[in-house]
Amino acid sequence: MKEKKAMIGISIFLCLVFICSLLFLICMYREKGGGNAYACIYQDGILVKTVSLEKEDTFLIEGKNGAYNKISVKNGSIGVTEASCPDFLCGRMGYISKGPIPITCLPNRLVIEIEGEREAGEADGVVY
Amino acid sequence: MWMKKQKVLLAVVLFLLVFLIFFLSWKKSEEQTKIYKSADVLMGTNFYGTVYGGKEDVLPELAEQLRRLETEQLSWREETSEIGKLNSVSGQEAGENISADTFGYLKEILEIAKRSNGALDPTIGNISRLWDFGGADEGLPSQEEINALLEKRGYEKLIIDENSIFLPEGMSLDLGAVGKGIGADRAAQFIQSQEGIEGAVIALGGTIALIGSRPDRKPWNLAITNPRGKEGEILGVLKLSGEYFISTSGDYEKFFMVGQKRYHHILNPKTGYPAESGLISVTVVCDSGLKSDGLSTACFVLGLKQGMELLEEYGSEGIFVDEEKNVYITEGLKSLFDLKDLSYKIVE
Repeated sequence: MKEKKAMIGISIFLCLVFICSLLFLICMYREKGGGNAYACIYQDGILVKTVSLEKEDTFLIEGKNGAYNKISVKNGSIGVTEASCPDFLCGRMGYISKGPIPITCLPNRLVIEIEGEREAGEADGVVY
Repeated sequence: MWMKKQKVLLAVVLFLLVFLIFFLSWKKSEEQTKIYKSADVLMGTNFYGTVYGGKEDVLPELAEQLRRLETEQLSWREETSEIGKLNSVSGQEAGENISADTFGYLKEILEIAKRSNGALDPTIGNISRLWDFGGADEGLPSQEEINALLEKRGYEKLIIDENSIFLPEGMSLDLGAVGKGIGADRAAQFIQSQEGIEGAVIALGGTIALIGSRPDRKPWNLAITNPRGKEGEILGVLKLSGEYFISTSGDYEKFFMVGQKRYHHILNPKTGYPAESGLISVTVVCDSGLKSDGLSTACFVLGLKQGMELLEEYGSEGIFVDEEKNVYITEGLKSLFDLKDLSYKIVE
């Protein structure tokens, strides 16, 4: 009887160890797998903002000497709607949703890149 | 008796579980090489850097080096750069203030120009400025304007000796077709000189440098852009193990349309107009960025047959795509390329 109790105890303990390790592993691998698409915004080579493409949003990224880019997120895509740069090439690129070609603003040294779910997402690099 | 057996079984299961946990966490910790990333605008194009390992983030220093390479050496836009100075003294013998690096680049470019029979020509600066693809003055020039400038080009008139350079009067150098490749070479040298870095991928516009190896030792996966795809679509994936430079030249990068006609940025130096060789994309894989960049442009201008011959001469590999969506792959890449868009067809 005593041994049976011990057995049940050990079994419960084992089950707990098993469940915990399983949860632990799931957490670790999920973090690696990413999730929904999001955009990374770099200014002067530094990541300044990460934004989900799931939620509509409009915000301003300000740079040196009054430089700015107004960025909008809508329908799962992201684009520049207004900017201080003279050529407005960043805005002319329209909205992007999948990459691999990012939106760049040369005068303001701004790059908007899509991360997460995309066709080329598995790749180490994209030649274009 | 069976109780004892069960105990042994339990002990074994417990041991296996503990072992599994240790093994998986060890594997995970091995994967956890520190990763540094950056995206920027450098040398007039997109810059991406991913560095695996190393003591600290070296990408800001690399960005600074590439900025200096652009402003002090390669840019024709900067009067004080070495190329800017050479252009300002056209018609005179020059070379005193030119660094050994720049001399080396120019010699290598001239060699590609000769071997490609002028399909790559570093002296078309005046003509590319006239078209100004991607710039504020982008537009279709008149035949007269082009004709006038065609006289002021010709790699065969550029003379490079051991210590001097002669650029005929009125001619202008433009290293736009190879600048990103030179940048990728410089980036690779810089990364290789740093301690503790396992691997890195550096992209500058259409040129990518693969340095070292992936932390998991698997081959690098390189996506090649679909030349006629929608945003984000790829043509296929190239799996490469080792250190390589890859460049793509395509008619889809910078272009404008006049009616149904596409005017793209890869100019045929002989006509002064965008190259019409039947190709829409050329990817070149080789051991130097300058070469991969220069050769992809030259091959695009030359067309399939001559382009393939040029690659063979240089011992380089490539993937050519023509207007009919046929894909031609050199022998060395055949087993490494995985076509994803099946509206294209691989031609053996």
